[in-house]
Amino acid sequence: VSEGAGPEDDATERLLFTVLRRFEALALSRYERDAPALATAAKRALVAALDERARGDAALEASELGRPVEALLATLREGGPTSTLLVQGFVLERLGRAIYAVVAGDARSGPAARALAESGLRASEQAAAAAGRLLEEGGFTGAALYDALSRTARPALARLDALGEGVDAAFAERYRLRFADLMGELAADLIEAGLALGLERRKLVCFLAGALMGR
Amino acid sequence: LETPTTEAARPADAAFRRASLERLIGLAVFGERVAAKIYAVMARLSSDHAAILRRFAAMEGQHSAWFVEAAQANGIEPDREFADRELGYLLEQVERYEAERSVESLAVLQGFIVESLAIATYEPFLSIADRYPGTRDAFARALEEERYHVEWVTRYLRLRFFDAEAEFLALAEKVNIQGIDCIGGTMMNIADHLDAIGLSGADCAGAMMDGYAALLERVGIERRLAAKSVVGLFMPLIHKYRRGERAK
Repeated sequence: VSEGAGPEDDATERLLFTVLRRFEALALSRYERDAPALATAAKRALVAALDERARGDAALEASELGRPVEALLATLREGGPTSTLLVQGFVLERLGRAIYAVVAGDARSGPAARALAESGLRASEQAAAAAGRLLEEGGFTGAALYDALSRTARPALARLDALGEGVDAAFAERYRLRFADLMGELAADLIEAGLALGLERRKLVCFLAGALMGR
Repeated sequence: LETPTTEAARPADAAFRRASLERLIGLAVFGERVAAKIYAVMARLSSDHAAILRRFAAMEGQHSAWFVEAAQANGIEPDREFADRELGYLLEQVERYEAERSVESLAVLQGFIVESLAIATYEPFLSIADRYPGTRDAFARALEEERYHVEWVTRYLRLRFFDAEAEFLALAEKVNIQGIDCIGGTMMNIADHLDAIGLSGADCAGAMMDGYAALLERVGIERRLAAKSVVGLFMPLIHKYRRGERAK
């Protein structure tokens, strides 16, 4: 329980860490299977800490985030090794990073929550960087990266929109964590990472726009 | 058709395609007239640049006349009601900035945001223009002149906010909130119509987002911040699109 937080705030915090635990646990299991370099000690420690913090899925099941989170998780379970590297490692680690950065930087987060978010931030940065390196080593640069991204990431990106209202309802007031801002961070970060791997910026932005529009 | 169509019920029939053409050409015809009005307002407010801004106003008026001729050549009646509904919100903002005598706000709104929509749709239209006799030349010339306007506005804003990037960031943030809501909203409202005539509404939306972010960069806003801001402002519009709601 965060210092100074009331019961309502604790429920918000538990919901946030429950959502993160579900995605981080899935990411770790996929990394262990498909991309061991991303299954870092920091990621393992993060999942263990989130497990302890969330204490089950009850908070998520009772929330309006429950269904869209389950739908996105189901989509993420479908891909193979390339999908793991691209969707989990290259794309969604950046979304996690954006979330952890907000919570870690918000003075209203309790000390324990801030420490956990800082761990998450570091783990996501490491995993995203490792994914970028593996993509480059595997020849996924430029047009090849664009082709793979547009083949694998579209379904997951299309499902993100359904999380928007639930994220804002649950976390905007407490953490100033707003879905539109998170997506702006994700896009900006992806553009930088994509440019570093030779992606054409215009093509990447058009792909993101189309995927988010459900095309 | 009062709302954008949902994925489940996006019609591709001839009637929808016809309505899409009428709406898109209506938006082009009447949007260019609004652009002419905005540059004329800017000319009245800016004695230093009145001559060139009046010339821009005349060029925008000419674009509208070309588009009317192109529509007539194809037997298309521009949908004024649709255009008025899309442009009303823009005109409200223009009136407010005129009352504030803020040429800079009008420059960002017209020279960057509105022109980004025009360029993001006119440019890909050229790939299908030959399906519509008489349109290629009109849209190619208009596109070239819109780019010229953007170039001038970019130089104007760079000089006006030289060594004052923070001031420009504050201005852009102020204009963006309603400007993107309005013009980005129009982009979402026409996305299905762009699809219906053989373009990609999603690619046009992406081109507008990227084009506008690039313009902000050219005036001094850091690349990451520009992308974050523009994408973030588009997200509520994309959400409405996904729900089949009009963006404004």
